[in-house]
Amino acid sequence: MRSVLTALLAFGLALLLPAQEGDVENPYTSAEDIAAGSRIFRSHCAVCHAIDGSGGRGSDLTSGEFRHGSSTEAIYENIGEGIPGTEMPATFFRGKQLWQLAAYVRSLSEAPQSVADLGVASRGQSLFEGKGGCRNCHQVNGEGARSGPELTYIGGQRSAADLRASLLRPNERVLPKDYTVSAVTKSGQKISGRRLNEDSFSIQLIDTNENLVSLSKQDVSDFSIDKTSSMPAMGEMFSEPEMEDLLAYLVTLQRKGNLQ
Amino acid sequence: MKTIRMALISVLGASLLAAQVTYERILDADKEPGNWLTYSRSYDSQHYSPLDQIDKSNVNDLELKWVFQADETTKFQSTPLVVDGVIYVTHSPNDIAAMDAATGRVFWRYRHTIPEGISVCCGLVNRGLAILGDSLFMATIDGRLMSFDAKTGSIRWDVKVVDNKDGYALTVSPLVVKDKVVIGTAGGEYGIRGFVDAYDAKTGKHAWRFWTIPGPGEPYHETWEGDSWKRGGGSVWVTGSYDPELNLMYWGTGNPAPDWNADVRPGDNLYTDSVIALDADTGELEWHFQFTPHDWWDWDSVQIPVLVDMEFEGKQRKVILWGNRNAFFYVLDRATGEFLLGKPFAYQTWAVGLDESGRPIVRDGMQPTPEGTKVYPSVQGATNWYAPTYHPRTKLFYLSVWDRYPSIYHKGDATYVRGTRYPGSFPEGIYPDIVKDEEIGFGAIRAIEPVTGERKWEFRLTGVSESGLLSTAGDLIFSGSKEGHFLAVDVDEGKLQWRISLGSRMANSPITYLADGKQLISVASGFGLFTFGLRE
Ligand code: HEC
Ligand code: HEC
Repeated sequence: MRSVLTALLAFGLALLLPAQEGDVENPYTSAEDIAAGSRIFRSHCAVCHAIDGSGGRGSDLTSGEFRHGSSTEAIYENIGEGIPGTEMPATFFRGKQLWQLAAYVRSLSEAPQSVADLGVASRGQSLFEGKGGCRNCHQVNGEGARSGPELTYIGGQRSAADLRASLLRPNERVLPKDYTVSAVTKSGQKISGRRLNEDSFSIQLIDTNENLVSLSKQDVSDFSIDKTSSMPAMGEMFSEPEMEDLLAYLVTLQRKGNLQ
Repeated sequence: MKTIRMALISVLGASLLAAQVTYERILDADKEPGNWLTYSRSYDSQHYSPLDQIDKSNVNDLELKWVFQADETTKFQSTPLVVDGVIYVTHSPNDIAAMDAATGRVFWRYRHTIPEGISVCCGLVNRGLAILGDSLFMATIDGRLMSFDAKTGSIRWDVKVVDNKDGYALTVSPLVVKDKVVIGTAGGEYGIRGFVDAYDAKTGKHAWRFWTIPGPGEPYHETWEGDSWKRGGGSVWVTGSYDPELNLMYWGTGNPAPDWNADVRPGDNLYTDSVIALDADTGELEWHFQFTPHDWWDWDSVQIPVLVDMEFEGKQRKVILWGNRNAFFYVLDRATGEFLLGKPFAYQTWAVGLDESGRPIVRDGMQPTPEGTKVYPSVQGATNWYAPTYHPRTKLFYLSVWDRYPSIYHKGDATYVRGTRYPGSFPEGIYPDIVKDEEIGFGAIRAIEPVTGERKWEFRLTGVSESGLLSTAGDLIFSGSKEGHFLAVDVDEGKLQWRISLGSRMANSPITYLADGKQLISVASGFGLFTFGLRE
C-alpha cells in the first residue's frame, strides 16, 4: 500500500519537505483553502465529527489534542489513509483537497473554544461502577461484562454530546456491530447476543453468557435481528449533576499518550 | 499421468502451428472450449463455457488444486488467458506470470517497473492480456502498450500510447481482432479525452484512433459547450466485443468529466456513457447509443457488451444485452443500434422511466447539490464492470447486482489542473457502519429474461459482490462475493450448489478451461488466483 505521503512527494511537493521529517508544511492554508476544506468537511466528515468538529461518533477535533499525531504530516496521513483499527475511514481525497481538509482541521483547534463544563470524573466512576450498573454490560480496562460494547477508549472516540445522547436515548443510534441477534437452533436451543459479524451464510455473536458463537443460517429456525438497544435509557436513573459526573468520567476513557 | 502430460507437451511442441493462436482460433473459440483465448473467452462475450465435466451432480467434489499468490497487495482484477495448457495472468502493477495450468507452477514472470509519481483513480490495477500468434499484449498503467513472447516473456515491442501526466492510464485487457490489438484508456476522473486505439499486432504501429469525445467539426461536437470537450472524459477501460459478420466492435464508454459537476459541460456529452459500434478495420463509428445523457452521477457504461442472436417480437435479431450501472437493463439491435427494450433491474430513483427511444426521463431534483442529494443507485452503480453472462440453453441473462445502495451526491468545485483529479466534488458512500440498517442494500445474482426484461430469480447475498459471473454447459453459474465466498448456483433456479470461503473479496470474473483434459475453474480472491477441479 502506497502511503499518501509518497503520493504527496509525487505531487512535486518534495521541495516543501524540510530536513526534519514530520515537519511537512501545508501549502494550502489561506482563508480560501480553509473555507474549501470546511465545505468538504461538512459533506464528508460531519456525519461523525459534527458540523463544528466538536465530535460525535468521531472524536472531538477542536481540543488541540491529536492522539494519532498532531504534526501536519500526521493529520494529512490520518485523513487520507484513515486510522487502522478504528472507525476513522480512509478518504478518496488526495493532494490539494486533502491539504485543505488538513488546514481546516488544524484551524478548528486554533479557534478559541468553550470548555464544556462537565462534572467530576471520580464521582462519575463511582456511579459507573456502582448504582449505574454499567459494568453489568460493559468492560472498561478488563473489568466488567461483555454483552455491551467495550468502553475503554470511548472518550476518545465520541464527543461528550454524543455520549450523553447515547445514555439518554440509546435507540437513536445503534451501530450495526451492536445489533442484538436472537435465534432458535433446530434442536430448540435459544441463543441471543450481540452481533459481531455476518455474511450470507452465517452469523457470529457473543451470547449473553459471553460465549463466542457462530451459527449457520440454515441451521437456525427462528432468526431475527433487533436494531434497538438493550441498554436502558438513563434519564430517570441520574440527576443532571450525576449525568455530568458520569460524562466527565467517560471522557477520561481514552488511549494515553501519542499513538503515532 | 506424468507420461500423458509429457506426451501432450511433445505433441504440441512438435507442431509449431498448433501453438500459434490465430485470429481464426479466437473466432472459433467454441471449437476449443478447453482454452480461454480472449478476455471474455469468445467474441460474443457471453462469458459462457461449453465445458460440462463439472455439473450439479459433482460440484460438491470440487477441491482446491493450486493457488498462485501475487506478491503484491492491490486489487486482483485480472482475467487470465489459457492457451494449450499454459495460463497467463497479470497482476499489479503490470506483472505477468505464465504458469502450467494443471499445477500453477511458473514458467516465467515479467516484472514491470512503473515510474514514480503515477497517479490513478482506483489503484494500480490491470484486467488482463490478449494473445495473437505467439505474442501476448498488455496495456500498462504508465500508458504503454507492450508485446511479449508468449514462450519466454521477453519484450517484442513497447509503444507509448498516452502520458500519465495528462491523467491517462491503461488498465484494459486488449482485444485482438484480425491483425490488430485494440485498447481504450482509463482516466475519466482526471479530465482526459477518451479514445479507442488500434495497433498493428506485429509491429506495434498505430493504425487508427476513435475519439470518444468528438472534436470541432465532428458529428455531435455540439453536445459539448466551449472547451469542455477537451477534458470530457469518456474513458474505455473494459474490453469490448466483436461481431465478425457485421465486422463491428462494441465498446462501452465511461462517465463525462467532471463527474459530479455537470454545469461546466451543458449538453448530452456524447459519446460518454454510451455503447459505440466501430468498424473493426477502420475504427469508424457505425452507430452509438447513449444510456445516460449528461450524466451527473458517474455511471460509466463500461460494461461488457453481451452479444446474442435471439427472437424478439417475432423477428430474429442480432442484439446486445446490457445491464447498465444506471440500474436499467437494455436490449439493443446491434446492427443498427435501435433500442428494443429497457427496464430497471434494481431499485433506482433518478429516472421516471425511458422514452420510446430509450432515453431516460430524469426525475426532478436528482442532481448533486453542494449539500448533497441522495440518489439510488450509488456511485458504484447497480452493477459495474465485472462480467455478466448469458446461458444459451436457458436463454437468460445473469448479472451481479448491488440493490438499494444510495449515495449522497455532492456538487463542488470543478477547476481543471492537468494530470490531477477533476471530479467536481465527491459523492459520499453510504457505509454500512454509518447509517441505520434500513438504508443499507444487499448484493444479488439476478437472472433476467431478455425478451421481457423480467427477473426470473435472484440469489441474495448479505454483502455485495464485485465478482463477475461464469456460466457453463454444466448448468452452473460461478461467482464470488466481497465476503470471500466463491460459490456456484444452478442456472435454472439460482439455488446454491456449492461454496467455499476464500477469505477475501473476489474482484474479477471466474474462468474455466481444461488442463490434462480435466475441467478447472480459476478465480482471484484477495491477492491470489485460486484454482479448483474435481477430486480424483
Ligand atoms: C465513520 C465516522 C468517521 C468519518 C466519516 C470521519 N471520521 Fe475522523 N475519526 C473518526 C473516529 C471514530 C476517530 C477516532 C479514532 C480513534 O482514536 O479511535 C477519528 C479520528 C480522526 C482524526 C484524528 C484525531 C486525533 O486525535 O488524532 C482526524 C484528524 C480526523 N478523524 C479527521 C477526519 C476528517 C477530516 C474526516 C472527513 C474527511 C473524517 N475524519 C471522517 C470517525 C470518522
Ligand atoms: C443491560 C446492559 C447495559 C447496561 C446496564 C448499560 N449498557 Fe451501555 N450499552 C449496552 C449496549 C447493548 C449498547 C450498544 C447499543 C447502543 O449503542 O445503545 C450500549 C451502548 C453504550 C454506549 C455507546 C457506545 C458507542 O459505541 O457509542 C455508551 C456510551 C454506554 N453504553 C454507556 C453506558 C453507561 C455509562 C452505563 C451505565 C450507566 C451503561 N452503558 C449501562 C448495554 C448496556
